[in-house]
Amino acid sequence: MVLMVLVLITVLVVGFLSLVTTERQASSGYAEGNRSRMLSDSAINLVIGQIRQATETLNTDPANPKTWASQPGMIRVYGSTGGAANGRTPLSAAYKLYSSDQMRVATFGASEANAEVPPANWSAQRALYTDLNEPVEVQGRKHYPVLEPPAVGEVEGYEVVNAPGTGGSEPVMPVKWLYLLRDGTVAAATAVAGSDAKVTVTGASADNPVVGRMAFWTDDESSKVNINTASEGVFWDIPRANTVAERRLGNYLPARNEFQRYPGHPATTSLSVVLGKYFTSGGGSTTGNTTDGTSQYGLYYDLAPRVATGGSLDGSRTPTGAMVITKDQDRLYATVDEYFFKNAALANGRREVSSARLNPEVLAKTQFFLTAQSRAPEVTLFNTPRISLWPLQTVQSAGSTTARNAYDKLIAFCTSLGRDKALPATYPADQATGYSYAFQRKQVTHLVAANPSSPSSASATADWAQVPRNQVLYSYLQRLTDREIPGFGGSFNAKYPNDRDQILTECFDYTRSLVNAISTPQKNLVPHYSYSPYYYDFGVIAPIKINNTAGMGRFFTVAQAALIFYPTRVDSTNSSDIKTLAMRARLVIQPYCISPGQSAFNQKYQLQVSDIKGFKADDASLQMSDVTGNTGLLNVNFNEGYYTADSWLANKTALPSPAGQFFKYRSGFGGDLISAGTGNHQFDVWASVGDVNVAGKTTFSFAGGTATVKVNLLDGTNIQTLKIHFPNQTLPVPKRVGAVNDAGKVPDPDNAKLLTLNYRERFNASLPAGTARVNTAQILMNNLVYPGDTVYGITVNPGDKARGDMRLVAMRSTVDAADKDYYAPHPSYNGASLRVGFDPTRGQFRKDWTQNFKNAETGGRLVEGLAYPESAVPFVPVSLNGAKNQYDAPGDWDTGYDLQEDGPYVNKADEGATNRGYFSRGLSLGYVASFADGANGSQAAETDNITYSPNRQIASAVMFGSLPTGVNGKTAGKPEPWQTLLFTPQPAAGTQHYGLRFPQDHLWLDLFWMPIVEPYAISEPFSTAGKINMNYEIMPFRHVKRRTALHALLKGTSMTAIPDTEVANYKSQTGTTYAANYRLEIDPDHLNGTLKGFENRFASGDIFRSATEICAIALVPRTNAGPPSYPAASYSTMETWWGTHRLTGDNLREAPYNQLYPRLTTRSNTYNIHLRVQSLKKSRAGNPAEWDEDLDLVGSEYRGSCLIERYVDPNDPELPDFASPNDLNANGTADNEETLDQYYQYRIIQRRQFSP
Amino acid sequence: MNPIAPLPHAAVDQVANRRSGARLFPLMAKRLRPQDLSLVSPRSGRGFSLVEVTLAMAIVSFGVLSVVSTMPGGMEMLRNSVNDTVESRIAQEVLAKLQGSDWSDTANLASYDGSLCYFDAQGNELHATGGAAPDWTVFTARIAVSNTPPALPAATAAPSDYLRQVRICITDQPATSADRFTNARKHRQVCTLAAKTSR
Repeated sequence: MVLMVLVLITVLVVGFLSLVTTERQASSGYAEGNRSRMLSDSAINLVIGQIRQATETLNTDPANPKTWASQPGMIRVYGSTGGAANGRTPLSAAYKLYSSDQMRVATFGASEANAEVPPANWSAQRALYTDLNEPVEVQGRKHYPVLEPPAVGEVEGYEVVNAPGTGGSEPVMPVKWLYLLRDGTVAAATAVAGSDAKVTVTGASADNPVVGRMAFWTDDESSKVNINTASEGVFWDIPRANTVAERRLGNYLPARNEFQRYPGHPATTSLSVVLGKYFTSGGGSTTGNTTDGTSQYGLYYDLAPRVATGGSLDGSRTPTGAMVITKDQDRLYATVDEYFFKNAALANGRREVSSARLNPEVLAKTQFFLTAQSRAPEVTLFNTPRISLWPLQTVQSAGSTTARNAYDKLIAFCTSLGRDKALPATYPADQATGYSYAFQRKQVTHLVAANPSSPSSASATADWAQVPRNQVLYSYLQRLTDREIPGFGGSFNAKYPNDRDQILTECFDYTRSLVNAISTPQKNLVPHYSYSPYYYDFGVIAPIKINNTAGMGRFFTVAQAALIFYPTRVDSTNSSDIKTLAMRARLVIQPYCISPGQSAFNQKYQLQVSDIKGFKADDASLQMSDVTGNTGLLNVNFNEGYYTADSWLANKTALPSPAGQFFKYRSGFGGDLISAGTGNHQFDVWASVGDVNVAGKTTFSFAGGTATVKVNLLDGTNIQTLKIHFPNQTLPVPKRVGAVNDAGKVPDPDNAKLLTLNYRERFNASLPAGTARVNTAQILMNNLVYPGDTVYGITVNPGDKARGDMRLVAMRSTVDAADKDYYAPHPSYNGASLRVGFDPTRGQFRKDWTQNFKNAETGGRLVEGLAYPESAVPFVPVSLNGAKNQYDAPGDWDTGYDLQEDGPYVNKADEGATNRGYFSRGLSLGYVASFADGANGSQAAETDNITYSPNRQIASAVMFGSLPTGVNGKTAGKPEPWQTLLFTPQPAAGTQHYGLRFPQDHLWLDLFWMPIVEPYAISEPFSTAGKINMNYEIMPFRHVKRRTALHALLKGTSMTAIPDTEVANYKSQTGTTYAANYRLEIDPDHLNGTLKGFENRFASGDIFRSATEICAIALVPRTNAGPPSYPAASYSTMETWWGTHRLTGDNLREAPYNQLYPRLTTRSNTYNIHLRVQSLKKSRAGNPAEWDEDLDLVGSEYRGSCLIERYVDPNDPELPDFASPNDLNANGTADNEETLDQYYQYRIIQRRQFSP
Repeated sequence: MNPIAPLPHAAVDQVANRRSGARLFPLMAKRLRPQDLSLVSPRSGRGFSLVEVTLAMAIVSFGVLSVVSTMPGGMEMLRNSVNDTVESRIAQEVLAKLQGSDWSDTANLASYDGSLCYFDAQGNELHATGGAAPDWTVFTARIAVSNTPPALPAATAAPSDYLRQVRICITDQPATSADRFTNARKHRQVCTLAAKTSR
């Protein structure tokens, strides 16, 4: 009985105790788990603290502002001083984002990076090192938390070389433990001599024991390929030559929403470098079908959430209206794992697997290379907002329509910050209300026939004077370019002391007038607007004038002023010696436009010529327009391209017809001559009003003089005043030889051999009647110059100051008499100086009565010594044999669009459309006209709704690469011709290019950006998703090579090189068989290819500090394809390689960078922290200052990762106006002294525990 | 196994056997006779002597006392276990509060330094009015925030301006226990790093 009671009680008590023990163990386990979770919080917070410390203490010393660049595992900070010697400022500090005993260092170069490699026996030192990527084996398969190694060659650009410890290819990721003491101190450990298991922990004691330890490494998500933005790139760029391949580019344009072919769009980044091998192994295919057709990359477009198959189908067909891709509406992936499933759910609620080949193992192997959450800031190196490249229309006063379509509104949102306190209460609610960082245009017009409003494109000042924000932003850019550039040193104002403002004005005007300048489509966009006028004035945009600088607009300057001396009275009695009894002179102005492009433009400007009344021949006055009331005014208002019958006048070239000086503005089937007379706006406004007697003379002495030629807007606003000097010269008396075939000749009534010739009658007599009176081009070609006329042409000087670079003339408000070196006499007097950019097959003006001058007789050469064929004679003066810069090295010129000749252009942004887009010169309307758009029919001078997209027009500021930088020159009065902003490391000039001097020109790119607003808002205010970090070197795991994202970047892009040997062909394709392809794939190889440049940089212990530095990396082509045959290329020999490809214009050399730069970054907003933490219990037996792996206890462990993002709340009311010198947010600091970085917040996007 | 699902027959039998105790306690399984339960000796028919009873009582007392004496330890363990759970939860809650607070409004968390938070037995936070501990307070947490940035390991001092060391001392002692936050035995301390995530 007693025993029973005892037993019973014992059982109860033991039961209770065992219950309590279990409970205690459970709660203890829970607590330990929480402790390790809290430890992981500490590790995450530590990394956030490091990132903030690195990125937000940049402006503490205003005299030395700093910038930062990230890479996996590290953020480096650079100041702005001390970069004079090599254009790179020294490191200010390096912040490690992995656990280390030196979390912040002041020096970090090649030797320090080498010192980060753990010793060979690191794995034995368990208390010092741990492997973050230590696998766990489950059911016979190893699971890795960070990097599950793909097999060799499965993922492009991945390899493990010389892993620490083994020297093999194990994907180990050893980092040091950081110990946490009871009082919260984070302490490093040092090895105890003679023991692998023990370490001494700084600061640990019996009262302050070790309670935990953490090991972590932070990956940079922007080093991976973003599955939400990437798809599979299919190369497209503006056609630049006339071959079958280039015509395909012109004909098979990317359709609207075919983002995979938009230059520079994130969707051109290729997933195949990661997934391709898995999809295609064993005979698999990535082909995909939709109702729109079949694409060989269809599988990738299926995977990409907002990219779809269709449109031009990999560039194989011309898209029509029905082929516009319907945007994929899949929701975005939140994690890479979601890739496994298709977006749509099945009827039974289950999700379908994306692809049978995309199995869990593949997902595991690719998680190190893919991300769903990469994002990078769009701020300058000064950590301030960049300026948008997309022009917006100002929001008009209440009551009028706001000309912003959905794209514009989204771009306005992406390019504004904070809350503009100066906005009126009436400001529309649907518009961005922040401080805008986009240039704006005052007024656009509505494309409603007969009643267009006046766009500010017709004014040289409205977009400046009437848009105060433009002035503020201009000052902002001035301020930034005044300052030493963080990371690089030097300022642009010091580099271009007399041209900085000029370059800024050029950039402003480029955005204003060369982007989105013609009408937007009326079908799919509301509102429907046009910046340039349409119809008769189509395409003409006045250059902007800012202070004493000028832009280019889409306007005209003077390439030549030619005095044509023609006989007015001849005696043809002796047909073998026809005598000229009297002559007259008249002036013809050869206009030039440095902004030609795909879309056509008419002529609408005013010329005023003065100071020619004193011109004399042998002391006799030429009586040039010497009549009362003549002030030399002539309105040129001429629509060249309106009627197809006059098709080869269609003006798309730099050398438009001077026909407007002879023919009227035409309406309907006009084509009438300008009214006869010698007054203003009359036919002989710049001509002799009386004869000069030259009977018996064969030559005469032209006394010379300086003509003043003003180029005005039609309202008289002066754009340019050019003093064109005609030196005194003995000239031949104009003389007919053989016969007097002049049209409109009038014989004397009493002597038929005595003939009176009248210049106007040349044209008048040639004009057919009625509706046939349209082919003014032919009439002009036949009659402007007759054989025997003397033409004294003063052309842009092929030597001296201008060296034939029309851009230098076009950008000047004045060319003074003292600047007469800009113009010089043409060497021949037979009319060969005159040239217009008509159909290249028809030659120029009359050489004799049976033939015209060949183009080659009227134009020069851009590349010295090359024999240009008729189809490709550049638009430069005839005496120019090679464009030469200030160092006499080959200069920067542009390769023309499609079949347009090369010349000194400014690389207008592309506004091509499917209907009458490219290759239309000489064939059809110059307009971009879309008949499909209905109502306005052929008058609809608008881009079509099949191809229109902001993100196809312009991708980056690399488009500025043809803007001249030496209009004024460093030395006053010494301009620097053929020198433009340099965005390639290997210009034609080799190293002899001023743009390569420090700070290098590519840093100019840093000031601008283009928001990506399609297919979804890939860009948010001042950040863009899917950008790829150039700094792919992984610190400290340099044995793990992850070049994959760069491979993905380069794969969809091609570079262009036109060999010297192609000179006879490159603009000459006539049939359909010439198979030459000048577009070359880029070789990403890291040993000899493009990435060799990256490897060199990393090997020197440095990283890229700005994404603009891609323009300092030579692109290496894959040259195994042909024709034409290309010599082998490697990174170290590219300089020599380009030597035989001199036909590649500066704009073409830079074009691939336009596609690469906007997709690159050197800073990330998203980081993935991989961590391993343990809560520890120190045994009482051991040394309290030490941690003994064998004696002390690990309470719990947590392994996992945490994805964090830094972001700006664009509506934060405290955000300043970074362009303002005032303290608008009242925080005690002038707004323009602040940086955006301090307004960043951090959020945790995703936490994931590693528990396979 | 689904605890709600019916058991298979074999399992039911096992449970039945287990309930009868036949397998676990064979002695108990033996059918007891009435005399087994009687206080009268079966042999003599007379009662136990005082000595026997006293001895039995002593044995029972000793046994019971010695077994019961382990109960406070068990209770303590139970209390600790509950405390572990609750305090862990409290720590997380307090940290979450700190993590989510705006550094500019809290003088870089310094305004939390020395502040007390009160919790009931389940770890639910109680809101104090007038600074006094609310009723039902069981746990009290005291937050200590370093007023200087912690230094991370580096060759030269590298304070991290955007980090703060946060120590949370959690106790179940009443306020009358003056040393509850200084005596390490009376509280539990959690230490962590907090980062500025707000602007």
